[in-house]
Amino acid sequence: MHRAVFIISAALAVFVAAVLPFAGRARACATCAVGDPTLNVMGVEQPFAGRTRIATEVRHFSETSGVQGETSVASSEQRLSLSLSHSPTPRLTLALRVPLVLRHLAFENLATETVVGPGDATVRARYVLYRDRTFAPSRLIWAHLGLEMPTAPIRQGPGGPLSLERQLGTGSWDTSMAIGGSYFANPYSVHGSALLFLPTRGTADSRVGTHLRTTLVGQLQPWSFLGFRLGLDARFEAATVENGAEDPSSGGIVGYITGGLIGSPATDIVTWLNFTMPVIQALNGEQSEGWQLVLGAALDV
Amino acid sequence: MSKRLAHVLSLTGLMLLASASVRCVSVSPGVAVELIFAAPPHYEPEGPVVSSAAAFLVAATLVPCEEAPRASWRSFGIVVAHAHTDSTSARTWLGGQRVDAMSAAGTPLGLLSPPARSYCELEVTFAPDETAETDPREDPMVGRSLGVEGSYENADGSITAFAVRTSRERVELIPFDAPLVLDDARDLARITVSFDAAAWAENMNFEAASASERRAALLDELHAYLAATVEMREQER
Repeated sequence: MHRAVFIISAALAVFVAAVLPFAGRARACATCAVGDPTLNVMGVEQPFAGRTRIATEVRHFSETSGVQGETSVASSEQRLSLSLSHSPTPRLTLALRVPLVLRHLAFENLATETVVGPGDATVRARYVLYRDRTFAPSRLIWAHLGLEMPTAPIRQGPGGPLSLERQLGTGSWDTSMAIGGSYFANPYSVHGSALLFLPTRGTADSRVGTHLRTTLVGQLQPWSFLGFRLGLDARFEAATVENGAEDPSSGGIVGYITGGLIGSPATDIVTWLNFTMPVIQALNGEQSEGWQLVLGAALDV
Repeated sequence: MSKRLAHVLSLTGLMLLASASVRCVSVSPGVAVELIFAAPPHYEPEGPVVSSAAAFLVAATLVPCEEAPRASWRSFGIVVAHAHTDSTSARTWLGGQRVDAMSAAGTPLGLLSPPARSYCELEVTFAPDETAETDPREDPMVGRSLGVEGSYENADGSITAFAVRTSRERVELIPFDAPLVLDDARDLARITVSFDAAAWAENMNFEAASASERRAALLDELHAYLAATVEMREQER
C-alpha cells in the first residue's frame, strides 16, 4: 500500500510541476473551442488546430500467473505516465507518453523483487476520418497508429536478460492500430474503439502475444464540472512466447466492467478516476488478473 | 512554434531525462534449499571393503508433507504414485549428475528455490546416463544407474572382488527425520543425500548370492541405506 501512496504522491507532484508553469495563462476554455462541453480523458479529446494537452496518469494493476503453490508469481504494478499531445491540424493529433514503472513481484518461495525505472514510451498519431460538422461535431470516427518503443532498460541476470515478467518493458518495437468513434449529445457521450496490438520479438527471445482490445464507454455529465463513466472492455490475447516456446499461462480472453468519475476542478483541467474490474477471465493456463485503478489529470495549455 | 509549445516540449524533455535516470531494484532472495550428495557422516566400513560406490542421479524433488504418503503404506511396500520430476516445479532439481557415494566432500547438486511450506520427504530418481559417450570398457558406470565395487573375505580367508551394477531406473522416497519447515524468507536448508554402501555390503551375503541376486538386492534394499540429512541455516540479508 505504501508503494501506491508513494506513486500517487509522485503523480500529483509531477502534475503540479507540469501545471504550475502554465498557471494564469492557460488557454481559455478548450471545450469552448470545440463547441462541446464534454469532459474527455486523454486520448479521446476532440482535436482542434493548435490544441496541446499535457497529462499525468497513475495506474495500478495486479495479476498472478503460474500454478498456485508451485510456480505462481504475483505481480503488482504502479505506472506513472506523463503524456503530451498536440494537434497541428483540426484532424491530426500527435502524442507521446513516457511511463515510469514501479513493479513488485512476489514468488512462491517468499522471494520478492521491486523494480523502479522507465517503461516503454509510446508515440501515436490519431486522425479524424469523419466528423459530421467542423464545429461542435456530434459524431467522430478516428484511426490511430501507435508505436511502443523499447525505452525501458533491459535487466540482465547471470545468464543473460531476465524473463519478461521481471522486465519493465518488452524490449521490442510494437505497433498498434485502432479505429474508434465518439458520439456527443450533451449530457451524454459514448466512446468506442478497437485496438490491435502487434508486438515484435523483444527481450530474451520473447514476444508478447498479439492482442485486440475493445472498449465501449458511456458518459453522463449532468454538470459541467462532473461526469460519470461506465463501460465494458475486453481483451483477446494470444500466448506470449518466451525462449522460443509459448508460455502456457499467458493469453486468453478477459472481459471488464469499467466505471469512474471525470471532473474539471478548473478551466482546462480535467481529472479522472477510473476503476476496472475483470468479470470474465477465460485465460489460458494458470493466471488471473486483478482490478485496475487509474487516476489522471490533463491540462490544456 | 509558440512559446507555450516550446515550454511543454522542454518540460517533456526534462521528464524523459528524469525518467531515464531513475532505476532502483530491491531483491529479497526467499527460501532456498541446497542439495548435496555425500558419504554418510560416519563412514566406517566393516566387513567387505567397498572401494567405490557411485550412482547417476537424474532428479530430486522435495515432497510437501500434505502430499507425502502415509508411513503405513510404505511399511507394506505399497508404491504410491507421485507427480515426480515435474520440470516446471521449483521444488525439483533436474540434473543428470554422477555422484560419488563415498566422497566426504560430496557432490553439490544445485540450489532449489521451492515454495514456502513444509516438506517431509525427498524423492530421488536414479537412472542410467543416456547421454554418456564414454566407452563402457573405460568406465563401467556408463549406462548404469547404481554401482558398488569392493572385495569381501571368504570363509577360507581368501579375498574376492565384487562389482554390483544395475541399469534399472529407481525412484526412492527418503523421509526426513522431522518436517523441513520453510516459512521464513531467510530460511536456507542444506539437504545431504547419502547412500551407505558399506552398510549394504556388510549385510549382503556375497558368497550365497548370484550376480543377479546381488543386483536385485542392490535395488530392493536401496531404500534402507539411503538417508537425507537436513541442516537449517539463515541467509544473510
